[in-house]
Amino acid sequence: MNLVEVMIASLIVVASSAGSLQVWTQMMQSIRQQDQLQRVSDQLDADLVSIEGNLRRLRLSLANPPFCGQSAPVLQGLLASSSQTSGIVREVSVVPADDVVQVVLSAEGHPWKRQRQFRPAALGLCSLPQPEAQSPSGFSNPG
Amino acid sequence: MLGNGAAPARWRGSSGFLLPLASLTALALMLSSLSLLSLALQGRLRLAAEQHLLQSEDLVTSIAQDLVARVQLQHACLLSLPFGRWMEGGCVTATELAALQSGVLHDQRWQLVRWEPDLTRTASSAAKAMDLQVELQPRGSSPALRAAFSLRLMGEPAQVTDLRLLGWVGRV
Repeated sequence: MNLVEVMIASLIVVASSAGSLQVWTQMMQSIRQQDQLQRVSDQLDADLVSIEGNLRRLRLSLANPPFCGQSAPVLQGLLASSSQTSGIVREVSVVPADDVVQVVLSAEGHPWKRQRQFRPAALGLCSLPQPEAQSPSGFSNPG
Repeated sequence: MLGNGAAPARWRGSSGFLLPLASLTALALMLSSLSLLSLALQGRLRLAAEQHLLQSEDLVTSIAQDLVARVQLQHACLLSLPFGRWMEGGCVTATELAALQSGVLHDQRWQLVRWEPDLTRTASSAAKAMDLQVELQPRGSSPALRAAFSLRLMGEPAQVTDLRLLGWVGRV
């Protein structure tokens, strides 16, 4: 054993330890980010489940649903005002021509989004126009 | 100072073991770090794949709702008929039938592969259930995905009361 050998061996161990430490640090960061993303994903899913639950409760409470073709704006108002998961941004828009409500859920600072279209006619949330039918009174909020 | 010539007698016998030991230590450290890194990478990929599946779920649900709404509003006579007998319904032309069988939404091609009465969920003649399956065609590196839905109908003529995603039927 000599000084050169000791120095080279020390250098190898120090360099590999530093590299390993860096990898560990990156890995811990990655795990933290994954946890955060998983939490965001769960929150987005929970908000979507809550929206679907609201729509199902709404259907059960409907006495006079609006006519199909005019129901999306009423649904939009309901979804925009219903309770939402904290930390989640809910954008509710309407495509009047198709009587479609589009919901986009996102979380601030995260790239992931959930985007779903709701058609009142496919969920039993509107009534088919009848020639002799009277004007409906609209939705009531299920709470 | 320790020179080659000045090395104490007890060190001379162990000369040359330090470098291989250090190299082995370095190798073990790097290998363990790399394996941990690959584990973290796998977790990230799994999370991205799960997210992709959830977004596909949103897409296929939007497609199914669009399809059911079109059938309800424009071809209500088809609601309780099996897919194979739609032409017999008398409320759809061949061109309209083609537009109900497949289409594109948000750049994703889809195809209706099943629309059959679901006898296990049909409660009575007034409350019927239909079993729907919609397939998302392969796109990029994504394989084809098929989702099953339960469609509930009420009354005569039938009116849609609920459409529920049951889950993925499997990769095609």
